[in-house]
Formats: sequence, C-alpha cells, structure tokens
Amino acid sequence: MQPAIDQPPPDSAAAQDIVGCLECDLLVRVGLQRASHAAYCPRCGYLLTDATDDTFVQPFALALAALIFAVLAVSFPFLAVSAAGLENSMTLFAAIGSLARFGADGVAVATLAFVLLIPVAMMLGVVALCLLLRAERASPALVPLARLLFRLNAWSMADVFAIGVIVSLVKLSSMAEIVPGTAFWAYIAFTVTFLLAMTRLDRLTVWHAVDRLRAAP
Amino acid sequence: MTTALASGRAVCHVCLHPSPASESACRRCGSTLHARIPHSLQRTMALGLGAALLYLPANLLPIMVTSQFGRTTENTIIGGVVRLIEAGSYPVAAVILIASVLIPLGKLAALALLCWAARQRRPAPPRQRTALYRVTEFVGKWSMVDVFVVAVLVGLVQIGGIMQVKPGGAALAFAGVVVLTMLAAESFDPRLIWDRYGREGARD
Ligand SMILES: [Zn+2]
Ligand SMILES: [Zn+2]
Repeated sequence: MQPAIDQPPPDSAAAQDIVGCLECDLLVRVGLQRASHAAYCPRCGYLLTDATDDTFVQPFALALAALIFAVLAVSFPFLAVSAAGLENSMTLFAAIGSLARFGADGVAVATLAFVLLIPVAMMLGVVALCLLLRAERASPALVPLARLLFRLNAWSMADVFAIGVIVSLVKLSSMAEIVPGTAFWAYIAFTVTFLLAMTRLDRLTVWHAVDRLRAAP
Repeated sequence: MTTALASGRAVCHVCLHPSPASESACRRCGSTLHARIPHSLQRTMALGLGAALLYLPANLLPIMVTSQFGRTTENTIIGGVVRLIEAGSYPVAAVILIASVLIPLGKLAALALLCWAARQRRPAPPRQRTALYRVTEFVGKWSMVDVFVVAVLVGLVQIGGIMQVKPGGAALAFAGVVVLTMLAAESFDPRLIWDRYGREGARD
C-alpha cells in the first residue's frame, strides 16, 4: 500500500511522484526507485504501477519476438481441413479475404484491425519506444508514441482470437479433419509474447523515463 | 487523504499526472484533460441502449450459413449452442453461451446498475461497485469469440460443392454489440463511484 497524501501537491509539476488514481481520484505518492515493486491505490486497490523493468530490455525483447511470430503467422498456412478426400488450407489473410468476398466487409475490417493491425502496431510501438528510451533520445515522437500505445491497449484482441481459433477447431473436429499449420502455432506464440510484453511495460515507469529525458538538456 | 478534484487537480487518463483542473491538456503528455468524463452517465446509457437494440438482430439473424452436400442450414447464435449441446461438446457450448449471451447481457445490466447507483444519495459501498466495474471492463472484449469463430470457419470451410460456410448478418450486428458495450464501459467514469463517499470510503 502506498501513502495517500494529505496536502494538495505543490503547484510545480516537479512533484512527479504524486499520481492520481484513475478509478477513485485519490492522490497517491508513488516511489519508483525500487524495481519490481507494485503500487496499489490505498483506497480502491487500483494497480497504479507495476514498476517492473526500468531498463526496458524485457518489453523490447518480448515485442521483437512477437513481431517475428506475427510475420510467421501471416506468411504460412494457418489451418488445413480435409473432408471427403478434398483438402483446403487457409492463411490468415485468406480467411479475412473470404469474409469480404461473401459481403461481410464490416466483420472483415473489424477482424483485421482487432486481430492483426492493432496488436502488431502496438508491438512496433513498444520496440520503437524502448529503443528511444534506451538510447536516451528526447525525440518528439516519444510522447505521441507512449500515448497511442496505452490507449490502444484495450482494443487488442489477439488473446480472444486465439481462443476463437481453438473453439473453431473443436467445432469442426466432428465434421472434418483439421491440421493446425505453422501459422497457427506462430499466432499462439505471438499472443503469449504480446501479453508478456505489455505486462512488462509499465505505464508509470515509461512516463517517468520520458520526463527524465525531457528534463535533461 | 485528498482527491485530485478536492485539490483543484484533474488526473490525466493516459499518464495519471494530476494537472491543474483549469488547464485543458495534461502537462506531462498533452492528452485532453477532464476532471470527470463529460456526460459520462448519459453517454454510457446511450451506448448501452444502442448495444441492447443491436442485440436483437444479432440473435434473430443467422450468424453463419452452412451448406453441406447441397443442404443449407442457417445458424443463429442460440441455435449453434443448442447444436453443440446435442453433439455433446459441452465445454465449447459453455464458452459460446458465456461469451455471446451471459457476458453482453450481464455487462449491459452491470452498466445500468452502475449508472443508477451513481445517482443515488446512499449508494452501495464503493468497493463492491468498483469490483463490478472492473469485471465489466475486463470481460468486454471476450464476447468477440463467436465472431472470430465465424471468421475462421468462413476462411477454412470452402471445400468445393461439399462443404461451405458463409457469414450471416448477425456477425456484423454482434461485432457492433461488442464494440458498443466496450465504448459504453469506457465512457463510464469509475471516479463517480467514489465522489459521494469522500472520506467515508477510506474506512470502507
Ligand atoms: Zn483509487
Ligand atoms: Zn497525461
């Protein structure tokens, strides 16, 4: 538990270790000196910071791995099905293309965005952000990048899609023989590395690093 | 204990920095600043109502159309669950039932309850309502499972004249339901849960 503060913070925005709880509005003092020290709001229990890895090595490595898995997931057959001696294999893009071909354009766009574009853009963002922070470069891209990343987080559905694929496998298994392809395993690996990268990237740790770089001459 | 509002601050929803409430953008990251989400309850209820209306076509229209050896069957969401139960795939039937029926309806009920309670003079204890809000926010996107199942089946099951799956109108309607309920949850400002409590909440 973190100490709530009794006095309004001094007007200088330099009081950087005071944050407001997003869920109950309480002002809380959060020390980020010790790594791997999570801080919760003392009133509502909201996770303010996970203060994980302030070197940004872990999220960088995980996001890079996720991007490699994403490339594999779109380049190889995702699933193959065979029934009555005929066979059909699909890639992820082909599946989305079929939706559009049958007139379900909206569903195709939503699937493309939630399952590929948003999560991949986020991983590119994590790689770029970690590189800039590690290079100690006060780039003008830093703030928009961090903002976009934490806002998109609610709209990535890689994990939901992974479950959807498994449900489809079970649904089809009674009618036809399904063989998971390279891209299927790559997408599962993408989902896992994506989720790990996002949990190892702590919001407050990022903003403190951004503040530090901007304060430096 | 002091809140941002009580000390003239507005907390940034992106970086948690408390900037002076009179300013329009966060001092640290430049995001638009609101002490509270403007018209939070009205927005949440409007989006929730939209989702509830869209939930009707999502259940009445077929979510996918299957042709097998020349025989065409239209499947609604509930029809799909019934067929899975008949086939004995209970775990998958449970996943679809929870994701497509229980979560969206439960979410709409929870948001209505939260909006209603935020207007009461003596609302339920804030910790319970915060927990309800967190569950509502967390489960939202999982309703999309059935839409993704349709995406995979349509992509995969195109085997000449033997077996074919086409998407139905309910897929788009249901994707709309999920997006609207997610936007509704995002519009609800959880700080409203605590505003009427002030200091009491601290000892809750
Ligand atoms: Zn709190
Ligand atoms: Zn900010």
